[in-house]
Amino acid sequence: MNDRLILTDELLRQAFAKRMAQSPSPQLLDRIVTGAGGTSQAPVRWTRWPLRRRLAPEAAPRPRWRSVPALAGVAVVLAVSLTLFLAFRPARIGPGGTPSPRPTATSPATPSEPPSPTAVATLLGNHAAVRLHLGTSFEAVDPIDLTFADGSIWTADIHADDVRRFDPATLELQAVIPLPSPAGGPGWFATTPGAVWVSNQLGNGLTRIDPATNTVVVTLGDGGTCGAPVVAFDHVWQSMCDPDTFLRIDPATNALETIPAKGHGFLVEAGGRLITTVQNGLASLDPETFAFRPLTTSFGRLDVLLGAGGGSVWVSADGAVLRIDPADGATVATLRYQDVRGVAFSADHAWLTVGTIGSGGRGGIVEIDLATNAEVQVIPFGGSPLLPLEAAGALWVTDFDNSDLWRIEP
Amino acid sequence: MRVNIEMAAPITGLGRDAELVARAQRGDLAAFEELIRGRLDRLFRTACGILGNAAEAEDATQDACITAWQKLPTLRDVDRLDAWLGRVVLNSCRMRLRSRRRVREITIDDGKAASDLPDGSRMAEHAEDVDRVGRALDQVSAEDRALLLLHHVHQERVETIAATLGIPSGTVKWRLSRARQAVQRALERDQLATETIR
Repeated sequence: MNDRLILTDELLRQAFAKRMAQSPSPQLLDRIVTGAGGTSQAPVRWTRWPLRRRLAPEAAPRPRWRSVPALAGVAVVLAVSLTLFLAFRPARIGPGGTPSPRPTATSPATPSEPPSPTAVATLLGNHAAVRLHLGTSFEAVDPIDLTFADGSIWTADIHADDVRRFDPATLELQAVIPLPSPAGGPGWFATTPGAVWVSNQLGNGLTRIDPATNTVVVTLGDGGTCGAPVVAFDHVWQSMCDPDTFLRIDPATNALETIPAKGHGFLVEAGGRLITTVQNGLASLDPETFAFRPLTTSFGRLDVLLGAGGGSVWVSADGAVLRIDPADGATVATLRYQDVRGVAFSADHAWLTVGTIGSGGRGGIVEIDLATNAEVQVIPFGGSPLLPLEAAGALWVTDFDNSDLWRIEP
Repeated sequence: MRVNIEMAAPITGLGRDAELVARAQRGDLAAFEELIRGRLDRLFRTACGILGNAAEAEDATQDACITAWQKLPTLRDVDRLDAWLGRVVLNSCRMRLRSRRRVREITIDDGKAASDLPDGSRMAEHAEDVDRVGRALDQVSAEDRALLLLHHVHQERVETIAATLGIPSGTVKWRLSRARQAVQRALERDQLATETIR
């Protein structure tokens, strides 16, 4: 038996170098220029492009999520889904309301056509679902976070430099709110009364949006952000990795305070405490004195601070999801899921978006009972789920890699 | 500021790029050509690293650059030009890989598995290791290859990759770790297959 080959940086570099040891042909630039000359450029701006059809009847809110094993229930779901699927099989609703062909792998969308949301009804396990494609394959409309505010679902589209809001019942695009410099590259949301806050992952600080007018009110802070803003202790808090600070904003006045982060990173609120990451561990931040207190944790390697809910901090560490007591850092539960991207919470359960479940290589959305930490159900997800949200009687998921927003019915 | 992506060395600095972008956004093809010329080699080699095939990489680069021309008016921040171009190339490579997968579904079981394996006895041990890593790279996802390429070959910082891919820095670190594990697992599968054949 041969010795096990250990992957080193040098081996990786050499393997890539071998793949890349070629130059483009001298004609490539000419071909590009010729090809480009034969096409026209996209219009500079577009602001609104509603879906022309209603995707589903107004659904009454269904606050409880439980699997329905009864065959009759499954049959109803299948029937509704099939109807939706057949109704929207053309998949792409063109600007004139008529179906237009889906772009193929080698023929990008007609450049003069503004990006129109593309809705596809489908099934995820036993659940009817609608996938709303936010652009063409080449259109940089990549949603990271999402939230529910002022009756709408909001997405932060990091490459499109804008925030979009959708009617949760019809998926109609209600507004596109550009984020001009110094904002840009929006990533994560928080909400306070009369305000939607979005962090600027590629731009500067935190931007306040007025949902009544769909306009930017102000952008506060200088430097790149990391992670989601947090609403706690009557303020909005934002971690700023690049300048190594936290922002503390009074939403009543927009007064800004800058706090030295001293090497601490992402921030959540759990159990009445502000919890932040520090070198491979967690610490609490006193909201008044701004003093840090390290927590004694038992995990070996912290991968991602996922969020906070059910009175605990949720982290991905040591190849599992751990629930951490924010008071003392103790691990209160270990959930054996790897490749977890995000978590959302409701009254009695959590949703985990998992990139790979089992050995099949497919992703899924896992419902966890907060009281027992038991797995309630797994919704298979063929794409690449990023962040979940339960709101407006449905489960919503962003798929960053595929530029999609999903609505999954209970 | 977090973002100042350098997918390729600017020809004569950011100011010149800004002027060229502005002209190209107004439909000046010559300005676009100048903008792309200095970046073409790197864009092509990035596509090569992901696709592992020069002919496909040329096609992917061509598609990407034409798309970039079409979409250039939507680019609002010249500082992000290179990150944006990098993203367009990655998308183009993904599209190529998707169509490649479809072709493979048709030509599966073509009988090449054993005979096409490199003959280890004719290679120096190190060269064989490099080849094995190359094969392992083919077994992981395009996203994983892109991440490893950006980090280990282009030596880009995690923050820069995060900006290029539009994901948090922490996620980049985590995905890099996962990508390495995927390559390592592919290496082990390759080793098992080789031993079985021997």
